[in-house]
Amino acid sequence: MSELATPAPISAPTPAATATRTHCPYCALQCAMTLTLEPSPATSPSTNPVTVTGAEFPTNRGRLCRKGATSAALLGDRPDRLTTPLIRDGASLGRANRDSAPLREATWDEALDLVASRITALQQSHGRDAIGVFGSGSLTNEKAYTLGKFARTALRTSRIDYNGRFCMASAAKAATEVLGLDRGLPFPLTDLDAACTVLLLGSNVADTMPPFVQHLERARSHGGLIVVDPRRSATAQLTGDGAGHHLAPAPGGDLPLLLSVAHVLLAEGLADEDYLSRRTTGLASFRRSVADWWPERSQSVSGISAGRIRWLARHLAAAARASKAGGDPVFILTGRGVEQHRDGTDTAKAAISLALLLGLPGTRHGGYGTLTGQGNGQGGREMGQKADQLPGLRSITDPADREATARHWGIPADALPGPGLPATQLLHTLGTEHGVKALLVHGANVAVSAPDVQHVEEGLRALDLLVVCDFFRSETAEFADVVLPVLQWAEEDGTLTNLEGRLLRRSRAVDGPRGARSELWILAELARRLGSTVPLVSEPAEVFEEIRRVTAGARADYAGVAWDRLGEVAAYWPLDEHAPGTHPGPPEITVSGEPVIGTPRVFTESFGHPDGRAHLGPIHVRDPQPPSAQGLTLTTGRLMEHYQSGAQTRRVPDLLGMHPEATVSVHPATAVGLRLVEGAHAELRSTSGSMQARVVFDSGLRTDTVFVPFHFAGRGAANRLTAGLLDPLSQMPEFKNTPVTLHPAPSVDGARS
Amino acid sequence: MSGPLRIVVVGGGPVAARLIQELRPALEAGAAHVTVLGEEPVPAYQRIRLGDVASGRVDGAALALLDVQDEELAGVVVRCGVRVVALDRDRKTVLLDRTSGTPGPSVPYDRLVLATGAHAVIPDFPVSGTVGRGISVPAHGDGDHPVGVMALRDLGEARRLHQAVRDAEPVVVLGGGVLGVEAALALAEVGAAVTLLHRGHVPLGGQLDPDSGRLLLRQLLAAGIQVRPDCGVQELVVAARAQDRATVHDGVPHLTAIRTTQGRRIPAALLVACTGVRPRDELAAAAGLDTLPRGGIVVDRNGRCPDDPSVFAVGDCAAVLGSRPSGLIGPGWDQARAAAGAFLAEAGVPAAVERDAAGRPVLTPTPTPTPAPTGRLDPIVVKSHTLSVACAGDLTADPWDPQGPSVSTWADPEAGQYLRIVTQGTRLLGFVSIGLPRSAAELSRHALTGTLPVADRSALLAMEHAAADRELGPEDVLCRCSGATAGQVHEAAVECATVDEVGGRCGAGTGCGTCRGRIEELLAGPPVRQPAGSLA
Repeated sequence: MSELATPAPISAPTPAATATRTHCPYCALQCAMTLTLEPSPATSPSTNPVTVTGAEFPTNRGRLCRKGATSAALLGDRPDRLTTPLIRDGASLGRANRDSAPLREATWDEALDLVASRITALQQSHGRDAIGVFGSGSLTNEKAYTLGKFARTALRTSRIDYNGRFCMASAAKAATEVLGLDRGLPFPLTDLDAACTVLLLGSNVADTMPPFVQHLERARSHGGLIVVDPRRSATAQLTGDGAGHHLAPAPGGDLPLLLSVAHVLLAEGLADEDYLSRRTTGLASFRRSVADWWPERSQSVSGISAGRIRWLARHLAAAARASKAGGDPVFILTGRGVEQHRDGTDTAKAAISLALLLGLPGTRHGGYGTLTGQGNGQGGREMGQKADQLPGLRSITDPADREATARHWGIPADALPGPGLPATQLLHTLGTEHGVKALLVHGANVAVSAPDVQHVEEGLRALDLLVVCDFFRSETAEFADVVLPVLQWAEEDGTLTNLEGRLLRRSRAVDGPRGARSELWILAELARRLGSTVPLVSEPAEVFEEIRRVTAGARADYAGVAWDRLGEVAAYWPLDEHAPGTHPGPPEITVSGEPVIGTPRVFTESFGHPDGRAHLGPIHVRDPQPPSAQGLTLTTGRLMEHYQSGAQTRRVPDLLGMHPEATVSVHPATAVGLRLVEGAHAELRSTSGSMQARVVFDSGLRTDTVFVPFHFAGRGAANRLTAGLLDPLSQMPEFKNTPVTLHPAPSVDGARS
Repeated sequence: MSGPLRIVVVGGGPVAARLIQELRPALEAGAAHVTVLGEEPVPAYQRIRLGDVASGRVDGAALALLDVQDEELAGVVVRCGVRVVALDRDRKTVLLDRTSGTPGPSVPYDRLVLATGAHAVIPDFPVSGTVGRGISVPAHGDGDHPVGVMALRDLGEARRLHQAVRDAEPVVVLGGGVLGVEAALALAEVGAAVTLLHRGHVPLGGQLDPDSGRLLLRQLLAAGIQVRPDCGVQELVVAARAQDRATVHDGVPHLTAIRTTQGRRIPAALLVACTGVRPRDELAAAAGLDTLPRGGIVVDRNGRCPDDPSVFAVGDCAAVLGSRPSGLIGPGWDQARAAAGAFLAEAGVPAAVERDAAGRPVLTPTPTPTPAPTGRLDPIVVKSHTLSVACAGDLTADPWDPQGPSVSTWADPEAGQYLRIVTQGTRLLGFVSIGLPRSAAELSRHALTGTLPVADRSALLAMEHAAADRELGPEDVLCRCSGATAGQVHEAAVECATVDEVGGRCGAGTGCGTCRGRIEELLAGPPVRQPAGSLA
């Protein structure tokens, strides 16, 4: 395009632009994209030579959202990029000096020697569990696997968990309990394309993964998109003009709503009794537990009227019945909106139970799925960085699973640590009597993303050693004793597993900065320095081959696909090494032409439990929290322009410009009563702390609910308000239901990131 | 104490079922053993849904709350069809009716829970008509009701009522309270011929303000119910057989009609008397426990009788702190939980404490059985498939009294809508909502906390209908994914022929794609194309 304007230098032949096909650095939709590296003119090295275009792929069909389209802004020479290890002098002397001592540049040898010697000393005086490891659903499969192996073999600590505990733990637990297997979407995403009815519970895909919305087109054209969200979110707005329906339950109302829909299905004889008797157990106990939730009672808790509850039950039942008579399939999908609660597991179980009552999962007539959030949120929870899991979704408490893993790692099974502390407990006990003394953080920004961040900050300060691996100096890195610069996304190879359980190749397109290293290399080096007898490999392809061997025969079985075939085939786990190319049903190719191997649809023959059935069971609603003095509840969530803690997207000018600071959305009628002015700032207070945000009026919001995005730091961090309340089944913290009060705030500074 | 705490529950209704559920930790710890003695032939079911069984919309089996075998495994013996005739507090046993006395006529207890509920109070109506071989029956009233006069308190009655509906027999409902209105509505909604007689000018007169009462009357008439206000039963007209189907009752007086206090004769195969209930406190009273004159076993907040620490009462038979039972299920559940809490403490089973991530105990409010000091209101939501009616609290405040509570009212009788909200500050004192389901849901929810924070009441009305899409101005974002504004897209559309071309110019439509239809409309719109270059 600019060939005529900027002629190439005559002295050198014009290098051709190189195009690399890879996937987006952000969410679990993992849109395919082409990174084109333009030969950069020597005269202007500061201009970013990489352009991003969407590529044909089943999940995104060539489309990208604004985050993906601007993702290349994070590549290239940036002044804020970490390019050398940093050390805080005096780190080994104790905590008092940390704030006064700045981070200084160091060599890799100095940094790694320091980390290894401090770990050794701390474990000698406090035991092996004195060291904690915090991983991420943003790490590649290879890094997540190696991190778990490093923790259990080199550190031999049980104290490892990851930020997926904040996103997927409840849905994972629910699917494991009811369906016997945790694969986010147990069917290819493109199965949604045929759906006439999609019930979307607590997911704002139009903002969080916009290209996903294409797959709702048919449902919308049939008026069958039903969105359950306390906000009239961008996704809820997609139900307008006859495209569907929006239900806005009250805070804490999701579970009673679903149970009362189940109640109506059962009471009115609308459930698929034949399917239930063939494919499930436990119906009687589930039926009795929902007997308490007749619609008029549910209405007083869920805020959804009894008539609407009956309508929803009948609508779903009619659609499911029509589907079985040759019509279009019906799907129920959940997202973080219903999962990030103290009763998130129960709510996800209720959604799955509803799908079972309708006779959908494991049939051609639809199903249930959860929409995984982080880029490798699915693979990240299978690779053994979860406190209670080993690679391949093996259980750390199951003797056979321990034996299988230990054999591959060349250690006796009893040398493997037991289950550790789930993420929030790990972070809320840092430096205390019961907590770890040192923490290694990989691919996470816990000083923004964890609930009750002030509590976490105190813990980070109380640690004897904090090591942060990142490519930018994140808010968490500011607390670190050692910061290790790592490679990102387009600078390295790896694999990820997307929201439908499909394995993807991430390809290296550009060189990383000199001085930054892959975490695979860092972990191998640390293991060696710690004298580990279990060597770690640092080549992604080699690690992947190891993952194939280790997960062979496990629930998340990756054995059946080779590294170099990942670009050619659509490989869905479980991938049996003996017959990966065969799966029930006719040969299948994706819309972008790859042959499907492995298991695109996991429950067609049987569910994951040993008896092959789905396990229904009683679900009871627990007490709500006491309301705030103003009766307002905070829910947090994502914006179109930002991703997670904002460590990446707040560094992209186009994105930061669109949404530069924390905002609080308030219904105008609520705002008037609280003397809040649109555009001015408000202070939000909860039992955990306070934050400031600019007031945005939103008449599509419930009057008892306010919304704050969680991408911002400092005084604008939404997690200054959230508490460390946990779902007892999944140990996932509650982000979506915090009692708060709002007050006009005089100051306007401080809310910026 | 040695061995598990033996808890005997007299009464097998929904509150007893909840009590068992709340006792689960003690059962699992082996610290308690529970025996439920229920009079009905089936284990606990959701009594509050009987109207739907009567109308045939719900199968009675779907209301089950307990499974005898599952409970047995959990350490609970559930005995059905067992009648308790007396309590022996000195020996700590309950005595059973001989006819139901297997495996023994008495059951020993460490703790006794009376969950006997309430029974319907059916007035003693004079009867006239003929029975048997043409023998005429003079009007009399000896307390023995003819066949066809019933309450709606158990599954048998609900099924009998459903039979009448299926046989298209005329039904009269007596009583304008919630139960009467619900029963009449349930029948009318499935097309049955039903008459509702009630005292006072309007139905639900005890709960509603006069205007909403008048609207409800109008709506019930519109629903096909023959409503007769200010009306009672003068006498029952009986015959030897009800039509041709009463074989077991051959020769027994059957209801054929009722004569109202207004002198009208209304054919009726069934008279459903929703004329109030009386707490079943006879066992307690006979055992010398404190009861209220109008019924109700006096207990403390945990359901314990002050006279006998081994005896508890929960649900419709219990007068917590001496106040009359409400007859609502919510307070019954709270009482069941409070009593279970007391048993768990006695059995030495620690109450489950929720802990946060740092290990600190989390404080959650324990629901206090009514009367609660928190200002909580127990909302009444009329169970109906066609009519949305919900109310709670006190609606008598004068809207025009500047010193009084704040009263907001919306009335649109033609549309069947009425809303009244009474508040003092942020406290919700009362509300009624008819024909506004979303407001009904919101307000009944707020009633449970007794607060209503929103200042502008019209926001509730606005929520009744989804927000409509508005016209976009040029500065408004049309494509959210790319951030392209309507103005930018419009500008691009002038020069482009296809949606993809527009996308190539300004990015619109290249993300989620939902705006592509809008862009197509722009492209297909009236020819606003301007001469090339005029935009430059």
